[in-house]
Amino acid sequence: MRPLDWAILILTLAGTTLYGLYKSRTRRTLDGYFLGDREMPWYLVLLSIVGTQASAITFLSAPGQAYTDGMRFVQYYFGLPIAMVVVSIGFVPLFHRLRLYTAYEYLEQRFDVPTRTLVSLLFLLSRGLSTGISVYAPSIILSSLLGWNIYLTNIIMGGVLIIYTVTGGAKAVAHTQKLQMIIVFTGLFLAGWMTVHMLPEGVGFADALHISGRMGKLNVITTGFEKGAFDWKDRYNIFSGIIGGFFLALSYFGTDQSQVGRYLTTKTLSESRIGLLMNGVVKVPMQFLILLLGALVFSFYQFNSSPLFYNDVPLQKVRMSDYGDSLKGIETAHHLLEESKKSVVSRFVKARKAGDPLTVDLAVGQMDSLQRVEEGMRSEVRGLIVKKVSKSESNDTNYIFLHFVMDNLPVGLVGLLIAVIFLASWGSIAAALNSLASASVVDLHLRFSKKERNDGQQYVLSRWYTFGWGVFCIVVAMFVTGMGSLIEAVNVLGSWFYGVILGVFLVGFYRKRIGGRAVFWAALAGEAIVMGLYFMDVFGWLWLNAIGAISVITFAEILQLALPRPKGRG
Amino acid sequence: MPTRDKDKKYWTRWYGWVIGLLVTEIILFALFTRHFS
Repeated sequence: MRPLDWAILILTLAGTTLYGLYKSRTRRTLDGYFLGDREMPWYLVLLSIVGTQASAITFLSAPGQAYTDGMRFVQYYFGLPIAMVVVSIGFVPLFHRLRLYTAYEYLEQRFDVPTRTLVSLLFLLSRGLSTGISVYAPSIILSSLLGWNIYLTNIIMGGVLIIYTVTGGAKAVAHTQKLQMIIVFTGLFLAGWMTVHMLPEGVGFADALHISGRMGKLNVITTGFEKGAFDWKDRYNIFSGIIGGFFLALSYFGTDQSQVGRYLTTKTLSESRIGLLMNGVVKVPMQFLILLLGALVFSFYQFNSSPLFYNDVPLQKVRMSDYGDSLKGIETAHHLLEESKKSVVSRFVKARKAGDPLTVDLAVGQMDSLQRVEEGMRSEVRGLIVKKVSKSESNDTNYIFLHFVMDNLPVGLVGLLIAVIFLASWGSIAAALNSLASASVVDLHLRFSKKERNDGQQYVLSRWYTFGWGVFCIVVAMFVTGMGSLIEAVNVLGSWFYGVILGVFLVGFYRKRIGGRAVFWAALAGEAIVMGLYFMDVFGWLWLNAIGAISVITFAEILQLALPRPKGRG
Repeated sequence: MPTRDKDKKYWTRWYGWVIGLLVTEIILFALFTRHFS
């Protein structure tokens, strides 16, 4: 990075932190600290919801995903708008009416203390660990590509935001997320614009789309059917996206305190609903555009030299090993292939513009076979990395976009895009810390402590818990350092618990005759089923959310038959 | 019309827009996929 990049990076991060501190003034009560005095407008809630869900990995991983696997990842979000409608109808009115701090308080009112405590603990366990990994995952990418010290990067990634999160609680989190989202989308828009601008003369945006489309990267809709049968292990298709994505989004937005805590900050039910519904409106197009950026980067690399593997650290280890000569041989062949590819793709663009279908078909056939050869070369390099380094480091999807940024974008924009990674990360981590603190304080500490505390004491306690969770997440990040890329681990951790937690809430809302004991044991049984299926590797992880929720509902129904009916609850 | 019914109608329209937009997007994405592949 050059001095201008450093200046932009430092100014952006310092400016955001100071803005967070400036917006920190709240009443010194639990309402003020955890719910921003319940006075946020809907648009701030919308930006906060988006900023909480979209972590650094969203922006690093999605373009890389489009580059390697195509744009079909967008289908993962198809269930989200439907879930927003269901959350608006079923969940939000109840949470508002009961004036809750955490979603889990409802479970004590509806069932009993053990069910509330169990679900709150499941949330703390999964969110605490996944937030720690969310600190580490972008840090390892930055430290690998920029040569930064990983431990120091972990501290900046997870530590600086603690200052304004501890000081200002939910209000500071929401206001900084607003600023962060504006900077993030400005940075991404500029990156997309520059990518198109850097294409060779005579190749425009539409040509870039035709190139990536013909090479299979614009596969936005896929069915998951192969040879006439549905592939249950296929991760992203329209069915897993709508059904699996619906259960995931319903659980995340309806029962995860990091999201519930965002939309409970409004004064009225209507403002919460509009914030959530607008999230349902903007999310799919937003992900589409982020993925499109990856498809454009793919087209860019059809005219420019690309590395065979985008993470330099393991590649360097192979280069220095006894496999160094094999790697060199593959790289030389790849260089020659790139020259042919460039001329074939240029011929395709010219023929398409001239309306010459025969030459277009011929060029597409050649592009296909060259791409297959290139894929073979990449897979050989991955094989060398598996042999010489480790299997977990043989996936470079999350390094593609940042590698492109570092190598090709102009000075200044590089610094801004590195800042984007930090800000996106801070937004989701800050909301997670706020929610971890609210669940610990409200569901556990204040619930089980016999000591009476006034507003001021509760406020101070909440700040200490926020600080404590911040330190915990950095410790987790430090602890997992050296375990390779753990990006998948965040999704897997969520899918272990989300479905079960959702099942408990759905029983609470819609099966009034089922009591606490039945749902408590059903939750434990549902968790065992989800874990069992995960380790047997029968389904793609998106399906585990639906399976977890359905298992809890089914077990609760069966167990209730053998138990006495609950009295006076519901 | 009572306020409760008006409120219900207002939100039903919102939900209709959100789902309608999703369906439109899926159709447009399918056309996009077909056009560029």
